Amino acid sequence: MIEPTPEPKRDPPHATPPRGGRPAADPTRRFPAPCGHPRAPLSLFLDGEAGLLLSLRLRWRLARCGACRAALAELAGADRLAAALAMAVDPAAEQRLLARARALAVPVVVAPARRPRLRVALPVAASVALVVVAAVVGERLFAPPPESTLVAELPLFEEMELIAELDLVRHLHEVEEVRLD
Amino acid sequence: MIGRDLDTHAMLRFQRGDEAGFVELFRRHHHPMAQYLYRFTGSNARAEELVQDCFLRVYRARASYQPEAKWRTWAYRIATNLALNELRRREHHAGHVATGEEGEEGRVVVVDRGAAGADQQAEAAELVDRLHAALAALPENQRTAFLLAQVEGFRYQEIAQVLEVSVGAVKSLIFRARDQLKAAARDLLPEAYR
Repeated sequence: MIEPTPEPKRDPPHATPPRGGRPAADPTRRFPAPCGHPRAPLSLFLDGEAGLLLSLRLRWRLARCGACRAALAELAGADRLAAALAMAVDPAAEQRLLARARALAVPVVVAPARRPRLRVALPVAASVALVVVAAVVGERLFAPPPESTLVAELPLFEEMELIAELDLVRHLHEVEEVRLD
Repeated sequence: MIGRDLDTHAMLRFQRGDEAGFVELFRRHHHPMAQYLYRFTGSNARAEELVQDCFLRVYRARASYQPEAKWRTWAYRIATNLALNELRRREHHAGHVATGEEGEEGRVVVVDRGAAGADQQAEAAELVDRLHAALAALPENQRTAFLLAQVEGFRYQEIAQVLEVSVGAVKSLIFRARDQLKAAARDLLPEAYR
């Protein structure tokens, strides 16, 4: 005789996940414990990442739900596993590291023969450049503007014109004398 | 904006030429980083070498260091990448890891400190191997996230920066790692469940 398939057990009322919560894609909502509560928040709880409100809810749940306590203990087992592995560090590691690091460091190499030359040449070149710049700038600053030059030459032109006129007048006199003759 | 922590200050001092800053960083992080890398690689000697390599990289990179994130996030990203490269190299030379040819030099038995006899030491060594094997069976990103959280006490935000993933992804990675390890933990450390 075939036994009837037992109906699946329904979650106890307290196991219903909180309503109106996060979207289904949130990893903390999946992977339920046998009681139906999600186990993923227990991992956050172990790492102190659950936040105040979630921590309070988890504490409340852990106080009342044996399956959640068992799930927490199981997840904490992974931490114990990792914590069981430890090594003694090498006390000479610091000296070894510093020796290697200093050997890696590239010192700034400056050729000793060129150093004095540079020390003299650079200030001299800078001084010469400064004098040249000062001369050029000074010439431009203190030279009279072009207009003043024209004004200064104006009387000379006037005199020249006057002389030219006198010459012409004299010449005209000579022309007139020739005509009169 | 992330506040500048002690590590960042030490690194900036080192960047200005004060080697004491570098020494300070090493003294503060040598032990925890070695533990992290030991759990990652399963070898004491390799873990020490990787710590040295990591700090040598820090030494070389001092000029280009920018305090944009926490120093330890930056340093552990270097350490994690070195460890992953090391593991991939070892996987490439398959068989070497599987047969446990590391030798005893890299193993420190801490699970059973009272083991005096040769048999007990052998048992303890075997247990350590199995614990390492359980961790090694995790996918790389799960192992990294879990070890950073569990061993180093990194916040999820920091782990997300090291792995360059979202905080939600870190939550999932760590939970899955714990879920996968729980059976091994029950088998290997049964006294914890009594």
